[in-house]
Amino acid sequence: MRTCRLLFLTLLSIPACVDGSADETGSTGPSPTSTGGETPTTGNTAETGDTGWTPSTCYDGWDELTDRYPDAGALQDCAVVPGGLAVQRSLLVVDGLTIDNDGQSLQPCVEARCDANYAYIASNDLPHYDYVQTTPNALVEAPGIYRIALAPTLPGAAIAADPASIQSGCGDAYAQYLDDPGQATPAEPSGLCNAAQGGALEYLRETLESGETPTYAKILCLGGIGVIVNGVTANGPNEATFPDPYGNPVFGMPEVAGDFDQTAFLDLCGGHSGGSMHYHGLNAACFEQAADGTPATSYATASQAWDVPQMLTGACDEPSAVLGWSLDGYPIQGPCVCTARDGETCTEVKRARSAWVYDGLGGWGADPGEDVALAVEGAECNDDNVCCPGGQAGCDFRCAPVLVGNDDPDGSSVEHRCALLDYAWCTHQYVDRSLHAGGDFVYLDRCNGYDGPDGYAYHATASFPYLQGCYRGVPNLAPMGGMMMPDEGGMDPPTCQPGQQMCCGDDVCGGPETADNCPEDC
Amino acid sequence: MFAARLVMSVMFVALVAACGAAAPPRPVGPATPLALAEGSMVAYLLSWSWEDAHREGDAWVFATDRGYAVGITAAAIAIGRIELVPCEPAARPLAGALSSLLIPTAHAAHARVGDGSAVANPGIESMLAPEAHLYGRGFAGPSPYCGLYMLAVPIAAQADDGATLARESLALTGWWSAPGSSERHGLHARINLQDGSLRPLQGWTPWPAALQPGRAPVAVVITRRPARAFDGLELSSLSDLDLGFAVLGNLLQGARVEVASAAGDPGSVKGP
Repeated sequence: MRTCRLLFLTLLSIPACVDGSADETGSTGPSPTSTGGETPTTGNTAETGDTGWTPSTCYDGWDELTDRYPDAGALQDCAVVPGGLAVQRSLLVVDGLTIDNDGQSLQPCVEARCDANYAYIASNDLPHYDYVQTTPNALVEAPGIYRIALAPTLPGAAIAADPASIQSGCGDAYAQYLDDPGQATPAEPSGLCNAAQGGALEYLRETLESGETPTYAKILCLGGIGVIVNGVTANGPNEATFPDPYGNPVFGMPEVAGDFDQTAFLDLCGGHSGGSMHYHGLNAACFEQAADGTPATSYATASQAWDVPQMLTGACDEPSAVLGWSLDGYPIQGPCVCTARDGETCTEVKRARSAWVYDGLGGWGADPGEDVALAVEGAECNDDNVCCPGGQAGCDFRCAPVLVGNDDPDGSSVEHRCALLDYAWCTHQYVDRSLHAGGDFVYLDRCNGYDGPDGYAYHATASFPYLQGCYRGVPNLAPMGGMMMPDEGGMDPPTCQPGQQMCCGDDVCGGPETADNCPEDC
Repeated sequence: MFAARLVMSVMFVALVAACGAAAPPRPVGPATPLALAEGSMVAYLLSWSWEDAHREGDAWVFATDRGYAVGITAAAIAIGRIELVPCEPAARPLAGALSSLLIPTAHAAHARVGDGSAVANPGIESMLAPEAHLYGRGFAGPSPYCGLYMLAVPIAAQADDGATLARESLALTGWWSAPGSSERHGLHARINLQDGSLRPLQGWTPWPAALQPGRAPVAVVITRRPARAFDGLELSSLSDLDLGFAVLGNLLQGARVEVASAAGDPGSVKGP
């Protein structure tokens, strides 16, 4: 039953308008358009294949939507809007659920409504399970509304963009680490994420071995990049300046449930609270749904699936469900990808593998002091004693399973290495795998996405960047969380009028891209 | 009320400063906010209270609020970290709260580096151990404290009485009976996950006999109450994992956290 439902969700999540011609990126994947190829099926068990599913109706602030999004259209049931049901049906049904927050009862809420162009996901940023207080930070409600484009648009090729190879400031990170490892650089140094809170969107561009020249939008270094199906914010792959400068949130996590690490400050679903709840990675088991859309497993049970080596290399037998939605409108799915499809049957499923490898900070300089400060970096290890002979306290390394590049046909392998907790971006390198066929797995692109028979989606991986390394599409940045206020954001030319947005990635306002307004692309 | 507390706190700080860090502070006024001379030592004492329970053979036996009878014959927990948590600043407007998402503003440890009062000393505790034990000593920071954070962590260890944790943070063995039934079912609750709780400092308590003042003139006494950790739970419907996790959370959240001073008689000045 679950297999059928997951397949259904996967199919629903496909942007319905498949672009047969090359788009701005040169990709032959689905173009960001919907043809409305789905049937409204709210609560119709015959059509959804589910029993008893009724979408959540917990949010009472829809009247204020236009305060946040003045150009929002009339809201309606997402089931009657092309592309909307996929968003609505992916969300956990949390109505009536009460969670414990350190002795306080709270009611999580996540609900979607749609206008013609967007799904609006309202939530109070609470998880669907009892809060696991891994730090003194409290869990707090943070109501907000995410706007998810039903037809994602791609950045235009004319937009000013940094070369994706920049990482120019990583030399500063290297020097800073040798000088004072506890002190962070003034800003996130890699340049691969957008450090300008509230500033304009920033872009990256690169020419791949495949000949494509995609343009990506940078994700915020600190802030939301999407929303998970339980309504909690998704964040990027780094922490803030303290205690590990722009550090990696996952390296300090236990390798499997039952392991202990003093730096384990995520729960085993991948989230924590740093002012409010957010996820840096995802354990897909935590978000499994019962037939009626309610959470299928408890936190204690789902956490037993936290097994990083297995999450990196385990076999896949069915495509993963949608676990969240990126702010650019593409789904965030679990780690198992349908790579071949015959009609409604997925004939090949592979595990998604990130194209980012752990390369360490040491490559960004050649200071003699490196021999001491970074002596163990990248060393093979079997436990933390190798990386931290004096104990974990004060040690900036952990023995972690990481992806490392090699000359084998697969191009990379999972190995235990002494990995630096600091500077998550600068310690990783993206390797162009655009021409790599993969093996038992399939390589993702720079953004941690895959463009396959089910369309484009990001995939949660157990290695960097965990959720997303960038946006393939243009994100809708919203006035909540780490997202920008409407008047603080913006795209490079053209300047669209209220109610419009750049369409098709071709510098035309009035999107989103549909078969009607962009027939040449659909 | 706040002004009165502030005055008390200032008096307390002044008193501590006047006496110097080595001299024990006199417990004047409420225990919270707990203002200590920066750098002074604070000791953490872990204890168990089996109030609402009685002994039956080798078991502690009690009834839950839902009418279950529970007998505990072996039980252990591991606390991996304890630290005092500074009082929250004044409430911020919503915009401020939202902006906190941009840069995490953990008021203590967002990760392993936290307040100077933090002590990380993972070890097994048998719940059946009669004696309270010293967890560790930390150093007071500059801010007044209002709470205490403790984190249970999975470890592999065996307690003196034979209770074991097998890469677990809590393990309980015993039996339970449903309401109105005398049939006993085996209890094997266990969990291998972290969980934590932030508890308020609840007032003064007399200096514990189990603890020598030593260099720490202030002790924080953390009392867990196993007999109340099963309240609210339908034992018949929970897996061992879910029961273990629920009991762990309840144990932490139900802990009573009080402050003891080596000076004076705190009982006469117990806070509200």
